[in-house]
Amino acid sequence: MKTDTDATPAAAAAAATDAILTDMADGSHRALVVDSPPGAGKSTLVVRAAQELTAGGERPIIVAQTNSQVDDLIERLAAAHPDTAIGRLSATDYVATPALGALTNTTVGRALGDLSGCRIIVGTAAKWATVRDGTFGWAILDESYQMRSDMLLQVVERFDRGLFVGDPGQLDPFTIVGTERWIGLPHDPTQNGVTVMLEHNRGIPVHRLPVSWRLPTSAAPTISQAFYPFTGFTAGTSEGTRALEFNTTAFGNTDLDETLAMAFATGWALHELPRRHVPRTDTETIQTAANLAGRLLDRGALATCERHQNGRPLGAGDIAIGVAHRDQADLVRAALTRTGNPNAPGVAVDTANRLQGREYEVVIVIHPLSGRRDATAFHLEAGRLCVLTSRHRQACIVVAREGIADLLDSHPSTDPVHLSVRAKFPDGWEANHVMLAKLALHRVAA
Amino acid sequence: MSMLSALAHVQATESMQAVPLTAFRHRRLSSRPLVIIPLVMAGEAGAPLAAMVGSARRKGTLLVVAQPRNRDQRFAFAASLGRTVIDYIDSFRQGRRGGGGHSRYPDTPQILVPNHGGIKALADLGRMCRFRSTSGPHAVPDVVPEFGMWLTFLVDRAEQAGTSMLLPVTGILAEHWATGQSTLEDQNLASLMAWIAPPAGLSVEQAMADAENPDVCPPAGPATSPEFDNRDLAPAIKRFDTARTLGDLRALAAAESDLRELIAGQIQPTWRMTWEAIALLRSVPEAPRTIKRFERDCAAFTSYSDYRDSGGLPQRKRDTAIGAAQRLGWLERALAEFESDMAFDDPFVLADRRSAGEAFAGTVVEAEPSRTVTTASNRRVPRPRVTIRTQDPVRLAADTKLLSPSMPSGHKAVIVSVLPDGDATLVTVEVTGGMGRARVPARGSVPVPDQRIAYLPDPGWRPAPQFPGSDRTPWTHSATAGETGADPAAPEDAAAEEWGNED
Amino acid sequence: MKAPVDDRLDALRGSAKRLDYSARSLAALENNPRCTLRALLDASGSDKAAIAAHAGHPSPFGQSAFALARGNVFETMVKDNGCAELLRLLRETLQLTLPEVGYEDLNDIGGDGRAEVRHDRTKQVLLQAARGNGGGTLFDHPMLCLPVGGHKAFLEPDLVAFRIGGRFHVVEIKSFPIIDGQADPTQVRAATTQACAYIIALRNLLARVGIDKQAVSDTIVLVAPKDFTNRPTAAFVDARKQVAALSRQLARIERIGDLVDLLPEGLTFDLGLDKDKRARRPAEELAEALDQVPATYRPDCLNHCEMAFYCRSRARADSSLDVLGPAVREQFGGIDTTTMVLGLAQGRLTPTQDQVEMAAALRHAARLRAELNVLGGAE
Ligand code: SF4
Repeated sequence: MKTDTDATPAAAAAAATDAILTDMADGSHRALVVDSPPGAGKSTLVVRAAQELTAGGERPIIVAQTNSQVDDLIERLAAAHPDTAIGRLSATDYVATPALGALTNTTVGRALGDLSGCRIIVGTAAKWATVRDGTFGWAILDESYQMRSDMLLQVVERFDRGLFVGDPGQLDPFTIVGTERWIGLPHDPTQNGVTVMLEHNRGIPVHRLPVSWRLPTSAAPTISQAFYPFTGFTAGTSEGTRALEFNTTAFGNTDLDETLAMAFATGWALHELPRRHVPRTDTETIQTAANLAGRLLDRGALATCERHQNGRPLGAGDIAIGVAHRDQADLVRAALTRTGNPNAPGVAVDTANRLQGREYEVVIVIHPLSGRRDATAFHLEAGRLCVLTSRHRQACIVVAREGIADLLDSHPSTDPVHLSVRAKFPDGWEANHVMLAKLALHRVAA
Repeated sequence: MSMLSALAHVQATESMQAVPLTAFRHRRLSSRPLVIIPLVMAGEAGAPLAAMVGSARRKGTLLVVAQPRNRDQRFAFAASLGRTVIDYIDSFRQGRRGGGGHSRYPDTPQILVPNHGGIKALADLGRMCRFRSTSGPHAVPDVVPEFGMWLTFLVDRAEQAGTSMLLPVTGILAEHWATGQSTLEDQNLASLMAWIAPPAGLSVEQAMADAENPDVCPPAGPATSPEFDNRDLAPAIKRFDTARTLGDLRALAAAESDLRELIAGQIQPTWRMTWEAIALLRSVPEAPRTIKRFERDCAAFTSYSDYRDSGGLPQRKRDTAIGAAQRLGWLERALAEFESDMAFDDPFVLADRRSAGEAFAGTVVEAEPSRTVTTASNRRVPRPRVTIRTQDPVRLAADTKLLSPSMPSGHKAVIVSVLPDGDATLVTVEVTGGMGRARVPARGSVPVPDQRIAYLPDPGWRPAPQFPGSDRTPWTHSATAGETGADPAAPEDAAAEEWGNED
Repeated sequence: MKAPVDDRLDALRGSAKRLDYSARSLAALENNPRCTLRALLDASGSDKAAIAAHAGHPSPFGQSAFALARGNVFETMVKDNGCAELLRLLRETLQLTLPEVGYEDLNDIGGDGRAEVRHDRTKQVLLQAARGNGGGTLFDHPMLCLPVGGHKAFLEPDLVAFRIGGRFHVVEIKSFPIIDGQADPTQVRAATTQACAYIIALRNLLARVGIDKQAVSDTIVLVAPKDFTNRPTAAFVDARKQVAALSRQLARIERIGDLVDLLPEGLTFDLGLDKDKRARRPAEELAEALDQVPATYRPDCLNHCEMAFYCRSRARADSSLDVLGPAVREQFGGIDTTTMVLGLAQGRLTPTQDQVEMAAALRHAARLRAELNVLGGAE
């Protein structure tokens, strides 16, 4: 029985990767799409695919969305292929990170000409958009569901074939411009690049990575049900592989401890503050999120997992606090300095948009609907909650004011409806509802 | 919405009068705008019923379609409205300045409609007219498609933030004044005017009540009130139809003048109110940077004029992949710039951003005016540092590039640090530009202690995105290669396309 | 359990005839589910327009005869000759293969137009079709019936087409135009939500004989005039989300008892109609009764609820921030009134523990605005 559950995810993942590489080698497809749920080994696949292409004599390019994604990929590529010359196409004001600067097989260049000796060239989409000539056989487009169609249009001439990799459950790209003129068009420039490409090209194989190596067994089924209702995925690790333990016993026995204990024991906790309508900058909510992180650091925790079977002490860098708005992030950062724990300011704090693609051991989330009177489309967006609740390897703690259930129950649905446009799933309301039902089982009243 | 604007609405509610949201009017008002009040018929696909048009309050022309379901009458209407509008537009196509490819007309037309619905009505009218054929069995006068193309140009341009060639009056009013009612009610011209300038002798409450009473204030369109339709309009149209069927010319003339009178009664109050609103808006000073955006309008107007002169095709029904991507780029850049311009020009808008922590104002508490650094090319350049103490909840991070409305133009700075200081914040900035070419900063180019100064983020210059040529739509954005001429500029059935029921 | 709640609802309505739910009123459930007043008025079958008018705030809605006429003419044209136009559209515009083409008029059954009779006949032919032995492909104005809160609501879709891909499809015929493939999203939304009521009713009908809900598609066929012509065109509307949303609202109606329990004893919205159907109840008394039920006014009510003018005036009288709309309201967290906002902003009121933070932010904002007003807007 145990061997079964152990072998299945790895085998399923390997089979999926094989199928992708086979389709890629086959050469009859102009494009390939790989849908990857949170932590399903997307980067590993990108590195692997780049290797296969290079081995086949190709000179692939990689298009990522942010500079940190590019740096990340280059580090992985350089580690996996120390003999392959890798180029980083960068803007003039780019300063290499120390880790990147230390790599011997990597060249940083401002223009393609600087990188003529490189077998793999990596850059952000924005940088690739400034390249006016040169065409490569293959491009790997990472986080391609976050790339807007108009951006794809600026880089597409640089390659013949594309491997589009990304997570369809995360946040959609957006625009500040409010216009309805493109709704219903297959080439709506505000849509993500993958959707637009698929609209125009029939018969493109869409693969799916079936296993999340990040999310623990406590989280995978819920996240899968809430945000990937049609495809689904499983956790790569088995029950008991991941565990959190305190280094100290609770000295105060506060509600913070109760919440942490719940999260450590079950992988989830809902730290519920008293019902009140508050602005999103509500100090109590924000300070509570910071205090939870501070308290966790004060008490010290040991994390056991498949990588560290004897446990590893958690540091501030293993913890993130996720929020919906930028001003909340700023306030949480300030609140961390007030927790009294000297390491607390090292906790990562960011909005859902910026947390996309990142991974932590413990994630504390300020629920986007907390304290609100009305749920707007922004706050209900499934992708936002999905990003926030799927960054963790061990546990996720959600901080919210009581009342979200009622808010959802009486939510007026007044979104406009458009002709010939497929409804976007998962539906924000349904996803929120599933998550809330799960969190209710892990509730700690503060 | 910021807390500051929200507070303005609350203040308006409590004081029962509109309060200003901005110091300036950020839209240009032409000295000779053309006002159009379009009315459409309920239930028909954007079928025009009437329009009042003119470039001065006393020079309004009323155009009426006696039977909106009749195709010929609609086209006659489109042609006469079209002629007025085209004449107006043509009057700006003169006095071109500058040489070569850069020459432009010094002024642009400006069409004002009462509300957003008015723009939609003009958009529909533009779409109806621009593909019409001027020959063949369903020929229309030459001016009809020309009018349609110009309207479409104006409507498209109006989507771009900060432009002023086609504007709804309610929009300009609500940009400048906060009322004690919701955005929805602010879209009703009469309700909005009730708060800003109630009719003489009326309280705001009375004016508001009147504004929603169709018998006192007929709706500003484009739809007429159902009561009016059922009680007055329907019987009048019926009388007209009967007279026409019977061929009774006298009855026909009588019915027609009845209709005109009825519709004039509905449209004239809005006409007057629109001009009152314009007069009111003139009393608000225009923001300095409006002129910069106006110059862009001039350029756009000139280039579309030239395109029309060269016999250009009508605008497509829907944007192509590349056209859409390009337009999205323009719209985004225009919006970012407009927002920054407004904050730069206008202390109210700046305060809005300050209350959200996206800008700050304070007093210089420390300055290092003679600080210099050596650049990579081994040049010593001045890089003075200044520390500002502010009460604003600053949320800007280090390295943010800044502009300042309180310094001479060209002044640029970047944030070095943001540190809390009691209940205030100390922001240290490094001045990076606007100091002249000398080794020592020009006089007045560096803030001095005790000076009050405001900073806001520099939206920066973004290169225009480059897309493939319009004849080379790549495989990701075009259906099966080989399909030719998807979405031809003119639909095949252009000539035969009918308007509504012929009874 | 059921009876007392129903009795109380009947008492709320008083002597007036019960107004049943229609597709339109069901669709309106989604607009303001939080509002107790509306839920009670609807559940009790009260005439909102009459009540609002008698309370001195007649409803802002009217329908133009032109729109009605146009709608009827258009529908007739689409359905002429056994729906010839419609079939052409389904085949050409939507590229559907329709194997057999039949047409069944369910408008009245042998001259009998009563809802019950038509519903029985509808049930009979639709079930036959679902079981694969009915002849009809297009059912004109079938009469569906959905139990809502213990009452029957009769619903009448324009058309139900059978065997588009082997499933029932609701066809909505509307007279707003589809211009270059786009239509006014608010109108499309209204049409869709109504169609969702039909889908749910149709599924309900089939479920009673054990047929899976998959037999009814949640994609709607919308037929409307093309561009500026009077020729029809058609488009699909994906209604999955709206079907789910409306189902949730219908489930909430079943909980109406919870709201009824909170009402003061003897409360009624009766208009005291005399034999000439004139309302005789003193208007102030009616207003007093209405005032006892919480309403959550939002400016959007002006678009969809007959009570809107009444509720707005009530919100104004309470200095409620609701009058200004959610965007303004959001800025002030838990504060409910304009008086409180200004009191805190000007430091005239002492904030409670919960309000300390908001008060500080308000004072900052007020200071900024005061600074600006001193400048007189001319810096
Ligand atoms: S108008 Fe009044 S009764 Fe109707 S939904 Fe709004 S608040 Fe409720």
